[in-house]
Amino acid sequence: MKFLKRNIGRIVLTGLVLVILFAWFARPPFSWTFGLLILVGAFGALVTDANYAARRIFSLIPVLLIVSFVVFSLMSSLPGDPALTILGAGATAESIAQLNQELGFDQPFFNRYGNWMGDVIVGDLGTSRILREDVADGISRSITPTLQLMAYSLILAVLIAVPAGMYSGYKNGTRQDRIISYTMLGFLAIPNFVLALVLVLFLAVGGVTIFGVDIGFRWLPAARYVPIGAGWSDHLKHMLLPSLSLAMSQAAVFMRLLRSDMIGTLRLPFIDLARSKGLKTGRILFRHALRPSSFTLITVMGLSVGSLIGGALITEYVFTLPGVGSYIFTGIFKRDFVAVQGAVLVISTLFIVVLTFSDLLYLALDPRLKHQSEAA
Amino acid sequence: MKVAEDALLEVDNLRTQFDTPGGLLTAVDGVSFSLSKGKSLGVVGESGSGKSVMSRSIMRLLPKVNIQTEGTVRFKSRNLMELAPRDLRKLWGPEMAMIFQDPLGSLNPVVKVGKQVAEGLRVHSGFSKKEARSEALKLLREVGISEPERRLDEYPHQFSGGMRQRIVIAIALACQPDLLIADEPTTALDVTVQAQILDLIEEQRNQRNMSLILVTHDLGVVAGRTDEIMVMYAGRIVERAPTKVLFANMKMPYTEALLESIPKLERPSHSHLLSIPGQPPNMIDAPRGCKFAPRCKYVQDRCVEEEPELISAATPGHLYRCFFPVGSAESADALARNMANGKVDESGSRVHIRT
Repeated sequence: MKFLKRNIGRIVLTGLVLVILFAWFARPPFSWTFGLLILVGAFGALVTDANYAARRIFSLIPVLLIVSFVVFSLMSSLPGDPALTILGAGATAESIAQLNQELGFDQPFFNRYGNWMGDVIVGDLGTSRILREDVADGISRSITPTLQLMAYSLILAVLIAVPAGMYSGYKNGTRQDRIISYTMLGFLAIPNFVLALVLVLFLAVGGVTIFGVDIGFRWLPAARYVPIGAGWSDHLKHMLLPSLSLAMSQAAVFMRLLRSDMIGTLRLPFIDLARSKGLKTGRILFRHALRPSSFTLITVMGLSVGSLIGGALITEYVFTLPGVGSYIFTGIFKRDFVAVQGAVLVISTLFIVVLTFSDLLYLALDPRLKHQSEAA
Repeated sequence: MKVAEDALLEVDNLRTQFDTPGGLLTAVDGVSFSLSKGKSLGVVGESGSGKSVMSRSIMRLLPKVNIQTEGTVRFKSRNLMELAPRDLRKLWGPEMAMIFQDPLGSLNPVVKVGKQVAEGLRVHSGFSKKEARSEALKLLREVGISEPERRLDEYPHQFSGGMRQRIVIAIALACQPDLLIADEPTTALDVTVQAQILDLIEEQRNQRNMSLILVTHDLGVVAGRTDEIMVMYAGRIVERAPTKVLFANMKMPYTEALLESIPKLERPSHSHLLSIPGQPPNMIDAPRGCKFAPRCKYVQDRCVEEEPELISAATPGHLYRCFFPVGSAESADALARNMANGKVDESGSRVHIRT
């Protein structure tokens, strides 16, 4: 009895979470979100201990509740009348009032929030009257290209930034360092969409002709989304330019961070010791210097990935990718609040999961933190 | 001194200069010495005397940017100054190894200690993972880490300062080097741990017939431990002698001052602790004469005008750099003159004059 009393909160929460998990698992996009959450939890359990990981995952519940409330209040406070948009110009005051009642817009704020949350908890994000489809289905459809774009651009950014940052930090102050640093700064300064257009111009549509000389290629498709189902190589070909145009500015930021942390690490005495062991420079850089230099990079990568989950609207537009950015954009213009708040909720949840993952990654990379967390 | 029959290390006219914004800083200036196999040499001097830079110059561990090193460092009759980085790397570990001052900083915080000890073996001796691990276990046991099986998989922050330095020693010893350079190995440690670490180094040196260069600012540390002592000041050797000879018959006023600055048990408590007044000279624009002259209680006009050469004393193997060596009639006269003209006070310490 005492055990029950003391842990009543935990038991209720656990039960609730299990119900939610069960319901959300039933349909995308929550199935992925929570699949991801469980993966993150498992990772946390692996790098620290199960208790700590469970605490981290459970502590997300209040955060998610607050997020849902904020999202809902913001959407409710947006100007515009959804009923008017749905019915069009010929609507009468009577029919608007009737539709509002049907949609539940006449009810007080907290009732509306309660109804929405009740549905959300069992995985139902509502139905969009404007798109005439289930919001959950719409988000699942549009989030796929977004997540792919995010993943590919992150991979490209890391592949570019890690070697460039390490080399630049190692060659600190030399001409090579300056060339790399300024080139990357240049990519940071160019807006994504400009880079996107330039890439399309020179790599997709044949470039320009100066004095009769063609400069440019027709190697890659200029736009259109091809799902993985239609063949991996075709899919990757279509994703390369959008991913690259997003990756370069990220790579520039990552490279700068890694470079400066690398310079700091290379001054530490354990690098001297590693050298005095007779290790090769490459081994010293990768085995000894990279990990202690990567902490800032991990944080910023988490944030960068998180912000890309919301979709890279302009990139999606330039390359006509039907991503979540475009989904939300259309939703806002058409006053499709149900769709927008559903999408924002899913994005925020994914964002929080990603940030939790990057926090846990810290523990995996830095044993000093791990033992602190065990002691706590 | 004759060239030692089997000199392991011969340093000749080593000079290391740093290119600083203020000008060329000469950290090591014309250092020559040799070290035989299995012998140990203590290098003593204040901070800034160039001893750490010298030990790194000998290893060729200094970065190349803005640093110039001249002279020859002959190790097993190969001139290290002419070796390519690739060949140097083959020497670091199996031939010569170094122990650093800060035991926490010297270990990689995110790599398990077992791996750090085993790494050299993997790279140089071509050990398999398993072999290297069991060798690392043996090494940890040898340097006095209890429960080495368990501690192999721990991280540096889980060890105390003394234990960390034991691990650093294990890393240095891993590939059986012939020369070990210990750069202030006990400076960052508790006094109680210092003796243990020094004893460990001494014990391992005897077992392995290694040569040792022990760099320290504390004359007390090397007193009973090394075969020879070399005192450095302002990047130069100012005195060098077999340990017993040095303590029995020191010639250099700076050595005397260093010895006097060590607190002694036999002195009454609350007696004045002698320190050496003043600072080591600016090495960018060093004074013309003897570099110690501005702080020396025997100083005469000649000392400020010209720099004494490193000359041999009556005892073989004893070198010093002074016109008025301690214990001679000349130095007694010099001190008396200085006391008379107020350069030195009654207690015998130099009155510091700001210049």
